Amino acid sequence: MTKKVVLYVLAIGFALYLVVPFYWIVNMSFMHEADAASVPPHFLPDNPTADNYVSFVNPSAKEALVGSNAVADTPFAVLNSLVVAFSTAVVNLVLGTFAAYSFSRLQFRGSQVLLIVYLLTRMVPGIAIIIPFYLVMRTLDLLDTYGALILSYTTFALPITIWILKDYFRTIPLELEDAARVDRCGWFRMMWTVFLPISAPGLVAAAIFSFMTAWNEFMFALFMTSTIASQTIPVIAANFATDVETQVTMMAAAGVLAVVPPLVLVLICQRLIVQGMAAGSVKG
Amino acid sequence: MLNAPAMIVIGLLVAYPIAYSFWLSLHRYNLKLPALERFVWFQNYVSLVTDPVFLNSLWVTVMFVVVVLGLTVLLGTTLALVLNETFLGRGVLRSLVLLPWAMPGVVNGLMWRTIFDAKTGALNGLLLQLGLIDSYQAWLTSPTGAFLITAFAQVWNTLPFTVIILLAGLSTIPSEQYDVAKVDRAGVVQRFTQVTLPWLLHPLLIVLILETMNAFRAFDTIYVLTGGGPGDATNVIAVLNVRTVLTYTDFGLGSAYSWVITIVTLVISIGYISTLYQRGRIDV
Amino acid sequence: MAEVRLENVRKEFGGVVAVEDVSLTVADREFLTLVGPSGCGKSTTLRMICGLERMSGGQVYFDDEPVAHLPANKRDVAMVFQSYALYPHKTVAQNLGFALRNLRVPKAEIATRVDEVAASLGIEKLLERKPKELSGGQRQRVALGRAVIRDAGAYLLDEPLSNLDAQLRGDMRAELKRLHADLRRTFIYVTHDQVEAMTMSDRIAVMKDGLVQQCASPEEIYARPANLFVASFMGSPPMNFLSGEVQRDGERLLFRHDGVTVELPEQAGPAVNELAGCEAVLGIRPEDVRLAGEGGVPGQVFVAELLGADVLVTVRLGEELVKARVPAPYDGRVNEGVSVVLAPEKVHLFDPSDGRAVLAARAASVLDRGESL
Repeated sequence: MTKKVVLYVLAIGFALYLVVPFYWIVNMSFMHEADAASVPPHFLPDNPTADNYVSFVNPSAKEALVGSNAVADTPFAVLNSLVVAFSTAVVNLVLGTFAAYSFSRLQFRGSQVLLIVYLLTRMVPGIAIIIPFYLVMRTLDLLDTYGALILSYTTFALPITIWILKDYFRTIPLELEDAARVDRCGWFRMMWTVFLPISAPGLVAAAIFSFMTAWNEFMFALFMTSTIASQTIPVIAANFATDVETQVTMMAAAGVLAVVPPLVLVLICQRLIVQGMAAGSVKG
Repeated sequence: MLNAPAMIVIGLLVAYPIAYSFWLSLHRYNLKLPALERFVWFQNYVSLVTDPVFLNSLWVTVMFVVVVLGLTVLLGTTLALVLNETFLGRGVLRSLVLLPWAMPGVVNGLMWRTIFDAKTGALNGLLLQLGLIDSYQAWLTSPTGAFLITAFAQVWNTLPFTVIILLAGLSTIPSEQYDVAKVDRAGVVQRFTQVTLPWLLHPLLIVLILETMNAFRAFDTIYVLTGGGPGDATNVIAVLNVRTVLTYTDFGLGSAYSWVITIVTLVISIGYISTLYQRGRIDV
Repeated sequence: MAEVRLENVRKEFGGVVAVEDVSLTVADREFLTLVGPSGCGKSTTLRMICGLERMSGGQVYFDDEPVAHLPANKRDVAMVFQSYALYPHKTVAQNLGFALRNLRVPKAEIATRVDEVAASLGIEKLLERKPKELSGGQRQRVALGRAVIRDAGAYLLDEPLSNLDAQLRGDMRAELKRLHADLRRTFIYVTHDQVEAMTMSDRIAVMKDGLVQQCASPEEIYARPANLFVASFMGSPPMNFLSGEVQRDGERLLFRHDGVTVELPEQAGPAVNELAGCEAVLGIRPEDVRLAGEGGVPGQVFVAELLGADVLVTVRLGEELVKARVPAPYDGRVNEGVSVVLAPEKVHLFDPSDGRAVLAARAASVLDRGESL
């Protein structure tokens, strides 16, 4: 009995801990500036308003100045983030599928070593490679373009993508490939019509992982971008935060916008993500 | 062959930058002072040892890692154990756990800023209404307050990952083990220490490795939440590093900083991994 | 339609020899079974015929056309897999029609053929289901259908019945045999179950250690096994073996083992004569062992197992146990004395040095079992 009580108390406590902070910025994002600044604060918006969100499309003169034009930039930044994150996911899946297939099916010499080397590259913090990366991108004339970001994020996400896919591919019976060969498929046709459709759950998990990596990343975006031509939503959100003139409500609205796409993805695919993340890491 | 594209990408965009960044760290190289560029051997590193800014930053970073790691393991294990029980609303709580994971670090920083805001923050409002404080406090201006808040914000953001891995670990414990323990008259505490804990050791070590690396690199949240301040209370090494490179454009010193981060994380990771390896429970 | 010919086919996996040297000719429209214990190389041989496994040496011909250089998707073969290997993301109809689509058969024709095959296998109601919604027996039928819908030169079946329960396996054996008769195509069937091999095949190739031990009709294999291995592997319950010595007694040749003496037939042949004075292994099938009140070798009943129409009686002869298959009912009790008669014209004799058969039963036992009992 006491166990039940403790359990529910803890569960409710954790639920509040997880939800309340997020609820607060959602709450703020639907408030007027005056209500947000009132003492004591409103824990529900008394006069709910979507003005903060409307401002992103149609900022007032005062709002336009905030955080070096952050308000007006927000919709474009969301678009940039979507393009970059989606492209990263696609590039990762293509490269990752080839590599993971070879790891899961062909026991070539040194495959174990190569796999570990891939993973070890993730031990090196991004900050350690950011300067050479910056210089390389400058040489390639890719600074402030989607290309620089997609390339960066691919290197981040690829090792983990390969790891997730490799584990998933190993669960697919070899006889299915054999059956496809006998049914007159060449290798590419076999991959396209049989192997990859069956691997869909693994591919989706890996794609979401890459998407999230790209969507959330801030440091490289800060270095590689300089204008709204490629600035992603974390960069713009940071501009809100570093400007003292920022309205709290606008900042909250920008934050909510930045969370919605990954949140939707995570909630739709939660089971896949949990499986995918758990697969490689815990076998002991 | 199938590995070639991935190898090229990883080799070109990780291995080369790593080598190049080390090369840079042996140079005096400031983008603003190109005339002074020259090879200085390990001078950058030597100057670090006597640099009070760096030493303070290192100290802050270590404290940050310790606090974050301690809180993450404590909260993560408790939450995973709660989620491993059956109770009403477990599914909801499981979904809620993923909420912080979907939040980009920048937005996380931004969110906690609105909560701890001196004028409009939720925390002030809540505490005032509960009668715990007489007037609004500027939480983020006190060094200790700012430090604890950044650590707290970081924990909130990284908790889901820990919980997922630990939960996966818990789910591999065969229920017979608990039945045997019960038949053998083990109490709740003994069941935890004799059955649960040994099985959790492997996932816990994985959590430790990954979260240590994460905390050493923590940047997004801190950059937005405090920008390293007040003073240098939260000036962790990643923030210092980015500022050195981005603001002072001192690429030589910046590279040296990042190599210190790399080597420290590498040494710690090797320590963890050799512990894992000694227990013979590592597998690829 | 094709004759399949294997010439000195060989397969090594990293230094381990899986198939040492196999030469076989499977006639057009024949049902040939490769049978042997696990690890004998039968499945590897089948996969080399199919093109799923590269050969380390030798050549495979389809109608005198060498095909070693062709991968599986370029060979004129269809295959049924042990695990069925149905595509989990496709419906039954899509599974059946997949190969035809790859062969660019017009859609309308695919639809007709899918319906025909489904009707002939009794799965027409399942066409829109996914494999995971099917029972084991239904999956087996779909796997079979996926092969027979093809107009292939040879149909390869890799232990297709091994995942079914006993009842279903019996039904499917009969059905497969009927299917072969209807299709009139070349079937190459792999199994470790000698009953399947016996009941369905036109010819059986018994394999062990990567070599074909004997390739002949089921009757021949059963009646005149070429060596000890084939004799012990084929037949259930298995053949009895007694180790002893061949002795010459005037004109007669005798096999002696402890108290057992069998007079070998006169026309036994020169191979037996050469064994005189040497050790030999005598083999006799349980149905060729008779139990009598007296007149044979005395022994005790060890155990009696009812098989239905027959009873399998295990008799202790000194150190050895000998099984006899006699018609039910049998009322001998455990440890009761009994006399064992080994019909001389039914014995096999093997040279223990290489296992070769030097004497086979004179008549095919299966054909005149009634007389021997």
